[in-house]
Amino acid sequence: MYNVLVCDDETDIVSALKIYLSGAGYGVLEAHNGAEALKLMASEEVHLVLLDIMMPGMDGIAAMAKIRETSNVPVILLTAKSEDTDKVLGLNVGADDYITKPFNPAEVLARVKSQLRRYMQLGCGTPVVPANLCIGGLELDDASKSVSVDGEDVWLTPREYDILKLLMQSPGTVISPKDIYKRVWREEPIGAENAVAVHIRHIREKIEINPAEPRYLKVVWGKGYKMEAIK
Amino acid sequence: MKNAAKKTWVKVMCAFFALLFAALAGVSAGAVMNLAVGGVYSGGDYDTFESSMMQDRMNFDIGNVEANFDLGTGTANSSLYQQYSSVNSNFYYTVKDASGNVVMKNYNGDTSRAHLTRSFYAGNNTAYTIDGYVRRNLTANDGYRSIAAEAEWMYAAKGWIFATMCISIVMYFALLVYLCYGAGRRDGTDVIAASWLDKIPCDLYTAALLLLMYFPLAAGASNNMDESSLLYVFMGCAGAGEGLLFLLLCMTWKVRFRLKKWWRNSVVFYVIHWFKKPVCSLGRLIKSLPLIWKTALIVLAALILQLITYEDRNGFMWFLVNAAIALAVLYGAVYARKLREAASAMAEGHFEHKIDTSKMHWEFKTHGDDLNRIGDGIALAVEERIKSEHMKTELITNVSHDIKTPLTSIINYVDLLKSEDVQPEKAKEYIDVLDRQSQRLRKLTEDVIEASKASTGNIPVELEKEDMNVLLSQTAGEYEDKLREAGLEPVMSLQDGALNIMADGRLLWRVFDNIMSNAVKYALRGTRVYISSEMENGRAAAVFRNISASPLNISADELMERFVRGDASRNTQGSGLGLSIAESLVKLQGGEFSIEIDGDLFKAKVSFPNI
Repeated sequence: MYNVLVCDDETDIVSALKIYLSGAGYGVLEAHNGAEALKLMASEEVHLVLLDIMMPGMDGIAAMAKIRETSNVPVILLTAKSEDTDKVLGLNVGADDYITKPFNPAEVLARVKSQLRRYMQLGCGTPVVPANLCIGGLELDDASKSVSVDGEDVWLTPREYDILKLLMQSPGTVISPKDIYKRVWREEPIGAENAVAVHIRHIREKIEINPAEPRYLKVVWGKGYKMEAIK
Repeated sequence: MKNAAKKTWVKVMCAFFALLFAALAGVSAGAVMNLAVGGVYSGGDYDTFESSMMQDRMNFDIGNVEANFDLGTGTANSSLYQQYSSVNSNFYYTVKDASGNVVMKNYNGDTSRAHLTRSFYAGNNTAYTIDGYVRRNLTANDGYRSIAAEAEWMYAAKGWIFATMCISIVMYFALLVYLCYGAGRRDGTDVIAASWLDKIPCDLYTAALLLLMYFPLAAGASNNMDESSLLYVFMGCAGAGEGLLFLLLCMTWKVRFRLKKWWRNSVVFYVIHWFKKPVCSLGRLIKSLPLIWKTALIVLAALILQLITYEDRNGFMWFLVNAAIALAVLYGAVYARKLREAASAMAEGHFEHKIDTSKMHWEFKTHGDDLNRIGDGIALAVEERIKSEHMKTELITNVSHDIKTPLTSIINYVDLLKSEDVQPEKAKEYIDVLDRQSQRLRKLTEDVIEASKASTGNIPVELEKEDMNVLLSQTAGEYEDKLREAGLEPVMSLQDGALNIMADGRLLWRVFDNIMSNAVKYALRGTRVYISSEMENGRAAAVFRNISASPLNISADELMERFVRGDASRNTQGSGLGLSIAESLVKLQGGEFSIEIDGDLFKAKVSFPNI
């Protein structure tokens, strides 16, 4: 059983999260400000932290900086601020993921599960088979033509598999829909402008927790698509 | 009838008949004139011998007698006797001297009808009188008899002649109208086209026609027709000529009027047009001169004008007064320029621009101070406005953030309730309502934040080169499934090639996202949603069209306002902020956003300059 530390000054939110997490079989530790969280971190074994940013006393960002001094436990930020700058700040300081309020409980559970699996099962030093393409928790095995996210197999159509493979081969590079079409379909895209976009959407729905805010397969609007370069 | 008027042969025939009627009208008018002079139409008895033709003829014969009167002997030469013998002629004459003695005569006392007397001075300065007579029974077969016969005939036919004249005139004008209708029209088309005649400058052509029309009139006035037959020939020719010229005039003006802007094709217009350019450029030159130069030029011109026209100038005093006036005017111009420059700086938004009034005097100083005060006032107002706008955004954002926290709890506990086995069946319905409404509240808070940020420009914008077509195909791909679920069929038609624009792809996606989510929410099931890109006037435009499910009985402007939705009942999802956000975001990127409503057709257009 993994222990999840939930830290928010709003007791109702903490209680709600506790119900969901215990329901999913996690042990839940409650804290209502940064100081309490740090105290619990020191005394208990914690496998994941759900941390609110805006709290009285020590806020989430400061608490996370403290946690990072001693531990590399996964931290998911809970925030009412949805500005991009806040997200970037949180991720830079050391958060592994973020969830904006008001959140969808199912999404919280999915993200917690994903982070825990990566942290506990795959770890950081899991040897990667060279034939496999691996980006973050996303793995593509060309030998068995299979794709898995955080260790869980994902079923893709052959076309979707080809597109994903193409993008994973050059992470961080934007590829235009036209080029994707030419290289996957091996013909000129005439009258099939949005075929690629539809496939990409389907892939995102399969590999992303929230397809509207993808972690791996990013849409570069007006240009094309790219696979985020994550270690 | 109408189509016949366009045919050339019909036109030629009509013109021929028109000229015929004009000539006929001329001839009959001549006859009527003759009859009228004789008093036929003014009532009373008609006397053949009093007719103008008879009188004219007698005048001619008396002139002949006078010409052949031998002054030396006071007798006529023998040819006269021969010419006016009673066998050859019906004309008699008696020549008397001043005292009434008969000098010469062939009058034998026969009964005569017409009588005409003319006095003249012969070369020896003696006055003579010639009496001319016409024999009553016209025994000789000469001009008088034919004139009398003609006059009798004309008198008998006076009604017919008058009627002929009237009918000819009426027929002429009827044909004129018909020909005018056909003028400029060609067979097979309804377009009115100018012929080469109609392309002659209108004033030149009209003047030429009027001049030609004047000639017969002038000739008629100056020429004394002594032979009546000649008169009719002349009248006929003149009638035909005038008829032709009038016809040409009417036809060309009809064509010109119908083609509009007839004045453009005239010599007067060309001349004015030719002069317009130099005059205008001179005006522009003067206008573009700096104020001081302009003033100096005007003062100089006034002085030169005075030097030329003003006679009574007293050397030194004149110079002194004018120099003082010129200096005063230039002084005024210098300060007027300063004030003007300050005012235009303010008009451009530089309210901090101050006028240095320390060296100004009188009204200039007051005016400068006033301008400074206006600038201060506006600067203050603008600053306060910006501050309050900023505070408003801040307030909305903060309040929305604070709403988010309790909302999170509500959403979570509603979700928990849903997973519980709540007993009364009704309670489940209530939970569904809570779920739906809390989700709506969530969307609303997010939209309010976005709308307030977008409208105040509180969003970082990174303009990059984007391809409108790629973005549209990405958008269509994202929405393909949602559209199908909503029973809508997307139809793409993209302009060939890349439509490169400078925009922030992320923001533009949000714009397209809003437009497409509106289509999903409000479009009529079973219809098509058109997504297309176009190039027009150097702008790349993305156009979205769909059919609204509920009637759009509000204007496009209203629809773009905040919190306005396409359905009056407001019971569907959505905050009513989508289009307002879209508009603000497009404006932030320097594009144009417009909405058109045509019945149930909703059309949104986003356009950017093509690069």
